[in-house]
Amino acid sequence: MQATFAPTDEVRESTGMSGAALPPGRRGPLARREERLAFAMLTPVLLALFALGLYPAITTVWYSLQSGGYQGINTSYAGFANYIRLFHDPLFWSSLRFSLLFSIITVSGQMILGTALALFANAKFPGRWVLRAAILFPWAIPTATNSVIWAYMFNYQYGLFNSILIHLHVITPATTINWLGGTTSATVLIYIIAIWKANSLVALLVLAGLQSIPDEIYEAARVDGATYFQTLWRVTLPLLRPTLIVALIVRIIESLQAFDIISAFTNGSPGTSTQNLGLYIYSEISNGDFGYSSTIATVVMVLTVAFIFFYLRTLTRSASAR
Amino acid sequence: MAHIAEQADQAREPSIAVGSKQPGWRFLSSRAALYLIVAVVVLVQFFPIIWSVLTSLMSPAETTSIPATLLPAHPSLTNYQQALTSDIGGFKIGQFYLNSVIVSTVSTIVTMFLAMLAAYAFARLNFRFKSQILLIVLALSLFPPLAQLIPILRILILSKTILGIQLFGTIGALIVPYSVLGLPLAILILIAFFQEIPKDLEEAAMIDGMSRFQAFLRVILPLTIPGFFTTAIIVFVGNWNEYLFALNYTTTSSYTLPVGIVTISQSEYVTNFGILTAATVMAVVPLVVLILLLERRIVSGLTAGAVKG
Amino acid sequence: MVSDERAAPDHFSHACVVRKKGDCMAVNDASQPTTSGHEASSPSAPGTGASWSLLDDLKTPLSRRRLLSRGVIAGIGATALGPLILSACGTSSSAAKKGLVNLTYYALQDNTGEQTAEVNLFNQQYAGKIHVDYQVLPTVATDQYQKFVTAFQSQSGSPDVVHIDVTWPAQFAIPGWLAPIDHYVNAQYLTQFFPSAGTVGKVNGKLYGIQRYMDIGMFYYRTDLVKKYGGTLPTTRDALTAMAQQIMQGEAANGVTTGILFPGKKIEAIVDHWLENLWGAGGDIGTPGNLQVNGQTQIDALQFMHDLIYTSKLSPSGTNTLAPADLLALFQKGAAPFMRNWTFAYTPANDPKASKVAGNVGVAPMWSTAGNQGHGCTGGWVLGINAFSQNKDEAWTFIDFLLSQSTQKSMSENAGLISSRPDVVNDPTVQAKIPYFSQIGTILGSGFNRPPLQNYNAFTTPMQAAINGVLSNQMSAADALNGVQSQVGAIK
Repeated sequence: MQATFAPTDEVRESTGMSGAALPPGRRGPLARREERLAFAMLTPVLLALFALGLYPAITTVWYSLQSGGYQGINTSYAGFANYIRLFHDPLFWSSLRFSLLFSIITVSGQMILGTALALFANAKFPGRWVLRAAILFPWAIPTATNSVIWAYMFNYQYGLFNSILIHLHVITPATTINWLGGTTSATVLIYIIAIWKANSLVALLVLAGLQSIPDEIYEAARVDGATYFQTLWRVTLPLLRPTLIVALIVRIIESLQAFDIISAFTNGSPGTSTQNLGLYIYSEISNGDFGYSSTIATVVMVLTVAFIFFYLRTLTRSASAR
Repeated sequence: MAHIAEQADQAREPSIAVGSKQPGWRFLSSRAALYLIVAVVVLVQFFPIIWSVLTSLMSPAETTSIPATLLPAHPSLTNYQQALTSDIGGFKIGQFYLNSVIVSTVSTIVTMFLAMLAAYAFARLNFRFKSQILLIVLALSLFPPLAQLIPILRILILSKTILGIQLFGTIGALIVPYSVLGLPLAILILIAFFQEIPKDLEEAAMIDGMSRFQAFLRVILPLTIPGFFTTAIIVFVGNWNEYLFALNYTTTSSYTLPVGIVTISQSEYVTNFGILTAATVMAVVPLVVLILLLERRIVSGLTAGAVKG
Repeated sequence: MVSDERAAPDHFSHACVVRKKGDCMAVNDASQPTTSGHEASSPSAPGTGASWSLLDDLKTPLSRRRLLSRGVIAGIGATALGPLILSACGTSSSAAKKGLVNLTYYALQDNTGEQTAEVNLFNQQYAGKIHVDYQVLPTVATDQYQKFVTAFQSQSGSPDVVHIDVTWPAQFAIPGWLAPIDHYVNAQYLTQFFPSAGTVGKVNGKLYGIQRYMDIGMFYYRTDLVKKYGGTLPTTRDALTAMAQQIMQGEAANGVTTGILFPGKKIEAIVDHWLENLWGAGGDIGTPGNLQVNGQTQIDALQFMHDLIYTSKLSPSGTNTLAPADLLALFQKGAAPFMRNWTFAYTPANDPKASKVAGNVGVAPMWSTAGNQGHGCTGGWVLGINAFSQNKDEAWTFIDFLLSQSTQKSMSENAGLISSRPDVVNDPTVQAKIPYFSQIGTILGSGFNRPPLQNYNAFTTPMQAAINGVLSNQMSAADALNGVQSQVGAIK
């Protein structure tokens, strides 16, 4: 357990928490009062999370040690059989590979584009409300219909994009592009749509972060003769670090759990080449195999934790190198 | 060259110079370049909505013509009318809209209230086991929602057995999980916003005789309004768009908008793209307009008040 | 179960009043409290006795009686009282007095309004006795399936009546979620229906449902083009491909861009169409528990589908993303002379407003190889009763109403769905409205059901991926089917 906790210090450090606990013996009355206040403020959240979050978490881990039965009924203890099965399951490895690549590429894309969008929307010019609306729109479309609409636009027969290309005389009606039917094109489109859909969240967070940076800091940088990109790199981004890290963590969690954005778009096709772990969990649940789906879900959880730590470590390292 | 342009621009209209806050934007000071970029960004971001609006005005035959019709020949609002009047077991999309508003609003308020308290404690107070507790809070959000579907269902059933409160099948079955499942992310985000406020402020307030909690309420909270609002929007939109729980824990009367849209726009084999896009436009546009208006009013209003008070 | 509740002593009714209040808070009146006796009705829930552990609790579905007795009552040291109080509560529900019984009916969205009309008619006829609340489900099959599973897992008795896909009865009956209906029907009753409609709900010797309407994969063709190019409809694969080739060449100037349309998207229909090609070659996939998908006939059937796209190029290169609705759009445009599709396509293909080929559309049984007969894959929806329902008798009354001749006739006439009753399908007034019904008897007669597996989903999931992979030219038919054989071979 100690090993698990070590990296959380980085969370603390990176978000600037000064939570180094003093040994209880040396705490003054003031510190104890502060601690009482802290626990009073935390209690509602912890109660809520324990009431609703604890049981599903335990259930999932517990089912991952069960096999047989149907929809979680009449299962029996199987030790680590499900994990061994995972290890020998090529579909698990290909889904894992897709999930990892999806997470790395889309989260990077969302961070870069979202930050750029926010910097842009933060600039003062007439009509910038349009940009603020542009930040909100992709994200406000329900995911369930968003993917259906995108799949409609990329439809092989009556899709918008093929029609545009036909009108531009790039292709003919006989040579329409089978966007969703090719492994590479389907994969790239999933990346693009996922980036497009969620850069909003990063942009919103960064925008709020930018508003808290005082103008004087930019003024000082300007007086020093810094160019825009120097200011951005040396002043703005370091000040945004806490916000960026939070955006990163939020996006990593959601990217690794991605499900409906892909299910309504390609449903993992062609074949299983765009199947991620989220889709695999769903198909195992609908096959009634709670044991195996819970095992994959547990792996996703572990993976998420590992990813967050990896990102944080890289970030804190590059920050200290600078 | 950019430098000269920058000076010229500054001389002409310093007040609306691009990026008066961030000097570097002046390399873009050619208005044309700026608005070209704005146009591209807006086009990309709005693209599916623009196409949805066009599709929603088409006739059913046009929506699946090969190759696709780019502009409706005879734009008509029939799809909107159909989307509004489609009857699902006695309920219409207006009901689902109302359900979505109630569910998202109530659960966002609950989440924000709880998360605010916890985030402040994590960000500003010293207590034992802080990182361990944060880890627990975070870890409970790391299981995919799919895996939580049945276990949470059992808890909802339990609420009836023990407390006599029927949640399953009502909008309460969505409010309860949304309120809790949104907590970890809201806490994480709020912690970051609390961090940005200088420590001196509340120390000054405490020297002035306020208690720690009073300082939190009167000094820190008003300052985090923009961050609070951003977080609330994120939580709200997340709830607004949720599909899995909204599908499985509800009856027709308690469907939310995403489930309602999917239900009215698809039959066993055919998707009616006209109705789908019309309903999507009706779901999204008011939401975005509302958020923009609220953002302007509430944020500027509250922060102005906070500075005075 | 019902009698058990009725036997509950009167003086417990106090507790019920309190509990009733909670029930009333439900938006859906019909969601009755869990039956007190459902442990008995659920064969899979092991009666674990009095010892309680968290793990037991995780393993078996929560039962209201057990939870209350263990979690609360046991806590105050009165374990024995728990079940009694709850039994009494069951009494206070509609089961005892049989006043107005509220039923909940889960069925998919029907945009013709027919389903709503049927429910309204029933509610009128049974006013004051039974009221049915029609809950509409999204039509996405996986969404519906998950919603049913969630509803059953809740053990709430709601929905009372379920409208489920033909591949689901076993998947819901085996965990104990569907009630057997054998005591409501006899052999005489079942003779009213097409034989497969009466057997599709049979699981381990018990009947769990009867089909409400039928569906089947049909061979759609352009009557005008077949006439022009030889006059006789091809029934074998070779004749089909030869004529498709001829028409594609001859009619290219008239907008025919492709020859044979079949579903290739990663959905259930591709497994069904592969089965059709397999059955049409005289093959099958064996018996439950001993399935074979990688024999030579099985591989050939898939190879045939693959070659239509990549060798003879008689099917669109993007077939691997085409769903039934996409096929219909192409066919309506006049782009192809031949199509495999479900029965829903018939009406829109003949709608002059939407279709350029209206009036020139014919249907026939599926194609086959020389010397064999073609068989369409059957589909459709089945009516069943939730095992946790407290109103099974009333639920059956409703199902019986939906299956009656007059209701079924109305369904076929107004929604175009194929009744599971031959007397409706053969009714001249119905056939006057839907001309192809005169042929549907023959087509249905040649149809085959999908294998009656206890867990059909576990079979179709890997099959869909494998077939779609082959149709995407990712791997050979033999490799793909050899790959899934180990996963599906032992499925019962």
